[in-house]
Amino acid sequence: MLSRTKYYLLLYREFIKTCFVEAMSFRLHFVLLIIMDLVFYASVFASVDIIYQHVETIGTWNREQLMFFVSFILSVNHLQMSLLANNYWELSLLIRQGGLDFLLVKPASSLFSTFLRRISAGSTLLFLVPWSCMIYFGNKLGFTWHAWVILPFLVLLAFMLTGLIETIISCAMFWMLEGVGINFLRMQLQQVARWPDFIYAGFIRKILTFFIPVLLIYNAPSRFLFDFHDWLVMVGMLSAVAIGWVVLFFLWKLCLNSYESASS
Amino acid sequence: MLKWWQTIKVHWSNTLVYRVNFLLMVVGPVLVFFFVKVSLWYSIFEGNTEIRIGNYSLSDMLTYHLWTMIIMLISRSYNFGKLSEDIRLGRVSTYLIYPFSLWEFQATNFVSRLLIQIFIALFCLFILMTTFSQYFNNFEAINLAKGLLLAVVVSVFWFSLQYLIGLLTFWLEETWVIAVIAETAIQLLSGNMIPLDLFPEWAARLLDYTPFPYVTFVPVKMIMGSGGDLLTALGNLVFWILILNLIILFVWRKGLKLYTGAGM
Repeated sequence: MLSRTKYYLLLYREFIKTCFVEAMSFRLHFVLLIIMDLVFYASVFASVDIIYQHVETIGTWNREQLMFFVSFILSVNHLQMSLLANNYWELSLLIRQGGLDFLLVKPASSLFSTFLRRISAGSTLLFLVPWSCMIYFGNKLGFTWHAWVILPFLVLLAFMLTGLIETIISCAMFWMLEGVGINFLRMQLQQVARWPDFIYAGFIRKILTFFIPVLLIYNAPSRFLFDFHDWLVMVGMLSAVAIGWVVLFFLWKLCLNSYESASS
Repeated sequence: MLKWWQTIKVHWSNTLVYRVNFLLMVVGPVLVFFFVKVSLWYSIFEGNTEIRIGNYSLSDMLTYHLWTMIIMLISRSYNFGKLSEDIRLGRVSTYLIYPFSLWEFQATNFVSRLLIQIFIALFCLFILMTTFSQYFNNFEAINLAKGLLLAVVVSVFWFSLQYLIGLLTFWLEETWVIAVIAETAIQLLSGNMIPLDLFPEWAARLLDYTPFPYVTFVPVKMIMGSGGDLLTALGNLVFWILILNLIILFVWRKGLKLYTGAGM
C-alpha cells in the first residue's frame, strides 16, 4: 500500500514537472493565465461589493459572511483550475481522436492518468490571493482557533466533492460525438454553486443539494464555519463525497466498456 | 452572394449535427445565468414587491434580466476558437488562394449562427411572454424593435472582438485565455449581472467612455423605454466596431507576415 502511494506520488511529481516545463515554454500564455484568474477574482468581489452598497443583508448573510463565502469558493476554484480543469477540456479530444488508448495502456490507474495529468502551472501560483481574502474576512467574522484549524481540511473536502461531481459529469463525453458542450454544462453548474443555497427556491434547492449536490460544495463548509451547531450539513457533505467515489468507480468502468477507441 | 448562401447552409448543417452540443454551448449558459440572476435578485428583494433598490422594484429587476437574456441569446458570438485553430493548423493557406477570403468565411459563419440565435431568442421570448406576462406589461413594440436592432449590432461588435482575439493566434499559442478575460470583464461592466445605474457614480461615469454599456445595458434599457436616443446608441456602437475592425486590419496584415503555413 505504502509503495503504491509512493509510486503515484512520484508519478504526480513527474506530471507537475512536465507541466511547468511546458508552461515555461509559453511564457506569455503563462502570464495571461494569471491575469485571467485575477480578473475573475476582481469581478466576483466587485459584484458582491456593489450589491452590498444597496442592501444590508442577502438572506441572513451580511457583507463579511458573503465575502468569506466568495473567498472560500475562490480557494476551491483555484485548486480545481490548477489541478483538474485542463484535464476535462482535454478528455473530449482524447475520446474523439483515440488518444485515450495511450493512457489506458500505461501502468497506472486510468482514472489517475486521465484526470490528474494536466496541471495549470500559471494558476498554481495564485493561491495567495483567495487564501489572503479568506483569512481577512474570517478574521472580521471573529473565527475561533477551531475554525482556523479545520478550514484547510474543509477546502480540501470541498475540492474533492467538486472534483467528483465534475468528473462524473465529464464521463457523459463517452456517449457524445462532441464533448465540448459537457464542459459548458460543468461550468454552468459551477455558476449555480457560487451563490448561497438560500437564494434558490425549495424544490430546485433540494435537487441541487441531494441529487446533484453542487450546493453542498461551498455552502456546507461555510455554514459550518459560521455556526458549529450546523454540523448536519457536514454529514450531508461527507455522505455526498462517499457516494460520489462509489458512483465514479462504477461509472468509469461503464465508460471504458463503451469506449470505441477511435485510433485503433 | 451564392457563395455566402451555400456557406451559410453548410454551417447550418454542421451546427445541427451536434445539436446537444450547440444547445449546451449557446443556449444553456444564457438560461442558467438567467436562472441564477433571477434567484439572486428575488432573494435580495426578499420577494417583496414594495422594496426599491436604486430605481428598481423587484418587478423592474426581473424584467431587466428577462431582456438581458434575450439580448445575450441574440448577440453572443463564439467564432474565435475555430479561427484560432485555422491559423494554428495552417488552414488559413486555403483561404489565401480561394476566391472567398478568411474574413468572408468567418463572417458567413457568423451570419448563419446569428440567424439561428435570433430564432432561438424569439422562441424563448414567445415562451416567456406567455408564461410571465406580468413582466411584459409596460413594453411597446417600437422599443422592442429598437432594442432588437441594437442587439444585432451588438452581435457584430462581439464578432469583431472575437475575430480580433482569434487573429492573435499569429503571436500566441492559445487565445482562449484572452477571450475568457474579455468575457469576464464585459459580463460585469456591461450590466449583465448588475444594472449599471446601481454601480458607484464614478464607475458608471467612467464606463460611459467605453463600449461596455452598449453591449447589454443600453439595449435592455431601450426595450424598457428608458434607453435614450437610438441613433446615439447606434453611433457609439458603430464607432467601436469601426475601431475594432481597423485594429483587425492592422493585426491581419502584421500577422500574415509571421504566418508560416504549418502543415503545408
